[in-house]
Amino acid sequence: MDGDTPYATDLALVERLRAGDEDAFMALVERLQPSMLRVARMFVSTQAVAEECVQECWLGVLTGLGKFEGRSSLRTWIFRILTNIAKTRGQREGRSVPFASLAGDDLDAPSYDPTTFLGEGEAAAGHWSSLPNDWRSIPEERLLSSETRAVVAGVLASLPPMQAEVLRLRDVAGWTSDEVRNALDLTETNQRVLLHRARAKVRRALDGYLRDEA
Amino acid sequence: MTTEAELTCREVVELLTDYLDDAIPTPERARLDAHLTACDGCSAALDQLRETIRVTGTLTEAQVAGERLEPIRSVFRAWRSETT
Repeated sequence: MDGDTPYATDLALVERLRAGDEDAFMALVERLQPSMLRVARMFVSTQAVAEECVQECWLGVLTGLGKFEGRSSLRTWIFRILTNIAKTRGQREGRSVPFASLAGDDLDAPSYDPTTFLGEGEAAAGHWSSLPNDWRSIPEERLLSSETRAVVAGVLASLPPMQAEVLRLRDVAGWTSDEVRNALDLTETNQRVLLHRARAKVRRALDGYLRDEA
Repeated sequence: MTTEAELTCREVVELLTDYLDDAIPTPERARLDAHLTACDGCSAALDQLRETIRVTGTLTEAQVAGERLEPIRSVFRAWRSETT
């Protein structure tokens, strides 16, 4: 983001695409394709149909480049085209996907085990009954080891699809909250709840794994 | 001693994603800041969340095999030949 023209870099990229720069286009495709396939797959019945949706999306992007004004990021704009295509396709397949099946039914679940806090009726109810482990004493090489990262990858693979995608886009790919909610057509609240739940599960798994070191 | 206006730790940990996104309205943000300064448990929880985000950020996306992108390259070339 640079000041008044947050998506100036995107406008420059759009110019290169309009000029027919195949390398710039394929680099963009390579970067976004894994995520686009997963998002499309949420709404349609098979991987093959998801791939068709993504292909249709890229054609829509290319023919619509003149309409991109830089009011959102390019990647957000691309994902909006994709979710529209995939949702329409899913509806045509007679497939209705309830939000809860994508988002998970545990959005209200607490981040920490309830027994971590003092119960109602006790003085200072709702405060820590035992303090969380102090991760600050964990050596950096342990925290960022391939084993620790495998724990995170394992949780990511087990999350409901929308929780996983929000977490990937925010914390792996580094998108902003506005980009993610616009790309996935989520409300601001839902974006944050999904992210918070996903992070809470990763944190909990990491805490279990790192406990010996703390 | 908990007053009605005071946040409990159980509430604070659910606000930390919003907190890091700077999405907490000012009056509540001040209460949260005060709580985090005073509470060792919640500052450790905030640290855990920050580290969780940092470790997650070191993951990389598995690439789609190059040959599976070829149909999209064809879409691009067809589009380019029509527009130029």
